[in-house]
Amino acid sequence: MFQYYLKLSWLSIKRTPMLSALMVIAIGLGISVSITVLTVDYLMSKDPLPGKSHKLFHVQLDTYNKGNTDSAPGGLPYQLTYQDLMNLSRSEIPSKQSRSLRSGFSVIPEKVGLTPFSRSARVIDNDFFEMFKVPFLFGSPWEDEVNNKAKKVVVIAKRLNDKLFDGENSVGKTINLDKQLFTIVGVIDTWEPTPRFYDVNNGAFSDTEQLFIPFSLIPVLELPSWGSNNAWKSEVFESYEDKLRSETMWLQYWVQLDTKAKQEEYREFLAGYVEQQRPLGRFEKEDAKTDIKDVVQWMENNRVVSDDNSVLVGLSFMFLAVCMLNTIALLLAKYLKRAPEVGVRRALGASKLEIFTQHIVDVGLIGLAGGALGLLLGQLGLLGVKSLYANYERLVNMDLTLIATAIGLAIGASIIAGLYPAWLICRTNPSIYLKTQ
Amino acid sequence: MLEIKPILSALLRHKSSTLLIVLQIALTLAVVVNAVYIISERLSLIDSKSGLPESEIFTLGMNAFGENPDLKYDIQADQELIRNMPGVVDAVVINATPLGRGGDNSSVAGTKEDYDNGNNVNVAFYRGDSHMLNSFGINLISGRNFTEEEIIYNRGYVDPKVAIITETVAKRLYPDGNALGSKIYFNNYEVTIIGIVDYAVSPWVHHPNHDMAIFNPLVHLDAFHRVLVRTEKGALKEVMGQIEEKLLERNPDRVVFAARTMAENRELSYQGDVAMSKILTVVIALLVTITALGIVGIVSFNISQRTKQIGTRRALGASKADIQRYFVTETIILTTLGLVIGTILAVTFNMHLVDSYQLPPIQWHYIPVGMITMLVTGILAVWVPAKRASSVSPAVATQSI
Repeated sequence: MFQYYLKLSWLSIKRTPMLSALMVIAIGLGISVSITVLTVDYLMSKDPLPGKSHKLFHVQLDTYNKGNTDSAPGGLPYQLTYQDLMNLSRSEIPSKQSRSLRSGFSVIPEKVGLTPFSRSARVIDNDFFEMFKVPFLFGSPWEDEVNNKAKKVVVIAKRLNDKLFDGENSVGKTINLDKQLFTIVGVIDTWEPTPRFYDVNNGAFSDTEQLFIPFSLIPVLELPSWGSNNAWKSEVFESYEDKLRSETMWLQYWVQLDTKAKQEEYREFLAGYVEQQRPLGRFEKEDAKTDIKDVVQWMENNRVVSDDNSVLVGLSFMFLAVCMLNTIALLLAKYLKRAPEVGVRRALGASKLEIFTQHIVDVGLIGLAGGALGLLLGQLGLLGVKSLYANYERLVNMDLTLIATAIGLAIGASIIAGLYPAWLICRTNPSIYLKTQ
Repeated sequence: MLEIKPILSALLRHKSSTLLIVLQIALTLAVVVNAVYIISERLSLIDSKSGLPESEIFTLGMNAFGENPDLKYDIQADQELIRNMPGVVDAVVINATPLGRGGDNSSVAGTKEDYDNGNNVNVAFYRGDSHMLNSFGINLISGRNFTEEEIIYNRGYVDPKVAIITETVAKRLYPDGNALGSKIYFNNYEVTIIGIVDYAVSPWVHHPNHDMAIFNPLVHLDAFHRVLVRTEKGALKEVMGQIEEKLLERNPDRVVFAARTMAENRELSYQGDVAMSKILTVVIALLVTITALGIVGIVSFNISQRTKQIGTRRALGASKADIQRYFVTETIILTTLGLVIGTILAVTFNMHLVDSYQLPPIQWHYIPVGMITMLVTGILAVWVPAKRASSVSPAVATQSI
């Protein structure tokens, strides 16, 4: 029966090529605009570490004095001070943890023909690689003891390894960063999460770092911050030591808390930490807040998906609605034209349900064609979006979920659009048309 | 216009298709009006002035990697080198550059009480020596520039004693006009305002106080620093082409990077707004096309349904123009109805945008402009099918089907 309906649909499409083409174009355009906008939105907001993201938490403390509040959403600053980070990292509650800073170096290559160049660096603890599932090509992270005892070791990214060592296993070799020799202990495979979810407040769409070095090197090498430094207190810095002791917030901290119980325990630990610091004259606010946010909450908090995107999603659905209204009007026209034929079929014994089903199949077929056209145009749309934003190259690619969404949306929307016309046509009274024939 | 009555009764007989066209036009108007409004907001943002002679300015970054470099000497030598290059008007080593997207900002107030009560203004800070103003190409409207003695060279950060502010800051903190010689409070220290400049902008174009800036006589002795160079008219490309080589020739232990003209900085700063405008333009174009095609489709269908009726009217003496006018009038009625509903939708939609995304409310003139555009589109869309209808032969009336 279904095949028969398909055949009828095909015949009717052939009989009304103009109306059918208009419908396919209308659905196709509606789908292409929606799917382009949805792709960007979905890829920006999707969970970067499914199954794990809800165990990884970003730590926030309100160290501000009375009368001052951070401009970040919720009034909690994005980053932490060095002293707080050092104190918090002594806790045994998290199963894994990593302190984090975006810094950078001049890479001075030995290879002939290369001149020194700048590269950003991620300054972290060795748990970082496992927490964020960073894939290794050669070697491994540095040993645990390096987290506390500074050692000039480095993990480099594949791209840098290709540039400096022609892609060979460079573990054990050295690399010259700011005239200091670092021993390479690992090379990671291409890992360029977009958005850069582990550091969204320093530009979620900036490049991923190509150098990874131990956090314990910060006081030794006096590393500068290549991210933001936030301060509410005016403090004189005569030396790097002064910055480490200051209230400047310039560091980030991720902890892994595997169970609800651990998460509760950690929240209590943070509240206790604030009380413990008060006698030292810190945490002036009576209601000084602390919080932990998991990866997805952290991305939402930092508005990784911009307002522009949300506006566009809304607009694109209104656009789709216009396309669908258009389709309903065209379907009505097409079906009314076919009313005499339906009258004959009804008179020959076709039930209302059969007529209804047949027309829904008809609409579904047009929806499918519209969906296919929409996907094709959507690819063009994504190419367009890619060319508009400098940092979207890695972001904008459709995956199977999105393709299925596009086709599903097209067929679903067309069937909804077809309900009224199909209902109208199946109520056709056969006698009228039999008389005029 | 005698046809209005028969048109209305014809429309009422086809309630559903009439309603669909009307709704479609209404939604289209709502989307188009708001999209055009967002575009015009963005375009005016993109064109907003920086106060700088942008075509004469470029910026670059430098990262020194020598062992224990004498940064004070290096910075001064670099500045001297660049300032003496042919084609350069002035140059300055600075913590941040206008439209540079990175830098320092802080909350300040005119009195200590205001500061303590949180009644303060967040402003961008520029830190460098006395060449900042000339390099920016901006002018003092009162007071004086920094003297050499006032410049602090420091590895970390110390509180400066004096500041030059933009007129916008002066007006905000001292509305009575007595800013010069007064203080600016910043937490537990204060600086004296020694000069006021006409205009300057912050590094961040979307900062709420983008048109405000404060200058301090402070040179950070960091390995990383930014440089802003102002050249003579037309000499920009030439200077930019030579500068890296010249700097590395003087001291090779550093990386010179991200040399960008102000035009490039502007493009990067407004990238999101440009993209949004372009995407919305495409959406508007597609939407209007779809709606126009919809009108073409429906009118064509109506005509094919009424071929016999048209033939009869022609046989009874209606001219071609009469038939054409009938369908055009029909579309005008439909469109107008859609536009009335569309206006309500457009305003509702705009109120939602204002509430959820802090967009400014729409200006009224966008609505009539949108209405006229849609009306013209409707008439254009109906023109060809209506013309075809008018060519139906009167003989059709006499044929039986």
